[in-house]
Amino acid sequence: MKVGALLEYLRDFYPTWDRKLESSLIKQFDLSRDRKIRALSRGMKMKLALASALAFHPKLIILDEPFGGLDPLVRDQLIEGLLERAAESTVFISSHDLAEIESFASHIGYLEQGRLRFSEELTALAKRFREVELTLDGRSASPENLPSTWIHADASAAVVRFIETRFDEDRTSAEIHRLFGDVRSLTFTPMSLRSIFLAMAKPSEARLRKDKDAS
Amino acid sequence: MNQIINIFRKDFRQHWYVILLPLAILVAFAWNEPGLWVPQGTPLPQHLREYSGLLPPLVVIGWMILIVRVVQGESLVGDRQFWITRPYEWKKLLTAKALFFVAFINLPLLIVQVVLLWKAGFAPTSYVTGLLWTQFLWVLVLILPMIALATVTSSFGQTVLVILGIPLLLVGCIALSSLIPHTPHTGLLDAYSIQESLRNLVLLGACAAVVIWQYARRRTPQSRLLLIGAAAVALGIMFIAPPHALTTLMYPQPSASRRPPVQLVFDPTRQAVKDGWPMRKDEVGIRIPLLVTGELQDPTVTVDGDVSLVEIEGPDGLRWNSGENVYSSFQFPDQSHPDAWFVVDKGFFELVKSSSVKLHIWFALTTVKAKEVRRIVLASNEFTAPGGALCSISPEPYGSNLLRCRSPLKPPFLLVTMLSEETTCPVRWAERTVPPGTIFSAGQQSPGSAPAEIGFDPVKLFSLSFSPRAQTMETLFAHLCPGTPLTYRVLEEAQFTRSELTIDGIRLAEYQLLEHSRPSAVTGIMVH
Repeated sequence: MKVGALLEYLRDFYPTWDRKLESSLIKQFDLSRDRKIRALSRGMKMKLALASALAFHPKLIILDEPFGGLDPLVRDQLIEGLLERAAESTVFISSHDLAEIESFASHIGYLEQGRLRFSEELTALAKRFREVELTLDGRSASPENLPSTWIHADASAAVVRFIETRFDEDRTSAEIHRLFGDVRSLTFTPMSLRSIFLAMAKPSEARLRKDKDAS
Repeated sequence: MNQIINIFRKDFRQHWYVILLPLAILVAFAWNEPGLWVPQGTPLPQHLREYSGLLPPLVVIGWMILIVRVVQGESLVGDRQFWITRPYEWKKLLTAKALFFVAFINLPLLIVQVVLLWKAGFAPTSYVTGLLWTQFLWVLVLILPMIALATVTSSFGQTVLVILGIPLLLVGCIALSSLIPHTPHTGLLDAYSIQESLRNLVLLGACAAVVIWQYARRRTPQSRLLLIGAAAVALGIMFIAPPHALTTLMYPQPSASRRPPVQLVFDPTRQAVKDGWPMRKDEVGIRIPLLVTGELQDPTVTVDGDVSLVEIEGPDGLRWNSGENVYSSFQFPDQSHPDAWFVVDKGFFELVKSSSVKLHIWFALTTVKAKEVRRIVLASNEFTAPGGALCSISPEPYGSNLLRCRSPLKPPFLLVTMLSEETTCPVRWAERTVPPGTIFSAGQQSPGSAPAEIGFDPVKLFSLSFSPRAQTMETLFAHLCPGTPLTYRVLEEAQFTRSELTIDGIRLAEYQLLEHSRPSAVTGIMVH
């Protein structure tokens, strides 16, 4: 089947099919109507799939690993194509390519072992996660009885590091001072989506290992 | 409707070349076939005629490929197909596929059959039911099973592997079925036909269920299990429903108000014939002389009787059941003193041969009557015979004792007779004279009561060969010449009943056939 034939075929399935949008997507994605689909590269097939999915103004687009194995140029074209329709559609993407997602997603959900661990706006997520590093004033630290929102706490001599999952500068600082007294230095470092994902994933892995050992 | 047409159009555009191949072969078949109806006037060169038998299998293979490809165009196996995220409605998708097969399998075949009927001299409009019935049979035998198979396989290669596996499965089934005792071919309808119908019903029911289930729900593992299960059940039917039980179902006991068409009694006054053909060393042949009586009101009626089961009750609770070892049959009123013969295990026979035993013989009785009797005079050219067939005297060297006939959709159930003194040509029997009143007869059986048989060619060929009705050790055929009157009887099976004969106090040794001999069974249609 050729590209043009597929689009023509799908056209009749959707009353809202937009011929103009179809043509513009074909042009935008450098697709040729006369090319056979089976002769297209993976990237071109993805573009055709996206063009055929966008041309009827869907309210919701669900994409499963859409960028896997694609070259950066095609990825950019696909993302560009999606973003242009962002105003009229909700795009739901499942992906392991966190850096790519971070570049354009507005909301993030984290699914682990079939459970949704969190789902929120990316900006809110980035705002509430911080890598915290504090240096005590000559004393060695003993990170015990820490708040549950602090994860991966680690102490080395006078330096304590942890990840705050409910970061609020005033509240977190006050809590640090309550637990550790005066500190010589205190830094809050923003985290990338990848770092947040790893921080969330590691305790689960540790728990899984523990469960496995116990069994 | 739009969606159906849209899918149909897409399938046509995508598979036109797969459609074309069987279509082309079908056209070649239609072109070639009329040349095979008669030896003369062949429209194609001889070498093409020789390969004509290959054409139908090639068409079937082409159709199988088409069905698999079209169904798997929207594959139902797996969850990553492009179409499942589109607004397809399964009923419309299935309808589009069904329409496609009707358009590119049934319709071309129907057209070819109409053309062939017309070329054979039959008016196709008179056989619409039969023509549609043939199409329906093709749906049941090929299209539905292939669709079912294509819906549970993910690729063409996988389907081919399954198809190649089916003959192996059949070989296994045949091997297994050989272990099960069977009833022999009894009567004009036999127990196998019911068993076969049951098996087909299970298999086709499963195929239909799988097709609908797959299109509606796409439950591939469950659908595969259903098909495998149906195949197992179909095999199991042989165990669950023994053929004898089916025979009794087909041939019910006559009701109290209705007597059986004939009465069967043991005839101890008559010495049974003891000749026959070789038997196995572990069996003994028994031949029981019978007397058949009955008053058939209609002179066109005959009764065919087949021994369906024999049971022997010996002393000390010894019992034996014939199972498959029953072979004899008779026709009444032509045979009023037939013999019922069967073979008994030698071991059992040795135990009871001198004792007085009780013998039960069950007969399956089929009443056959003529629904049309017509006397026609043989013409030198082709003539329309009763039953709808077109017949002509076969020219030499094919034998002037033959009437070559062709009939639409299926051969008729016929009995044709000729009186020796009415023949317009001499009888070929060396120099001996045929006694006046000798009746020559020829018969043609019809397979079942359905309006047509499955096949490509709707024109069925058969020959009528005339031999004397009376049993003779010498072969005698009648010459057929223009001007000879023939009596055509178009027959039908009118009644199926069962009759049981119990003989108490019989000594089997007195009716034992000579060692290594087995009598020749009397078969065929006898004339009254």
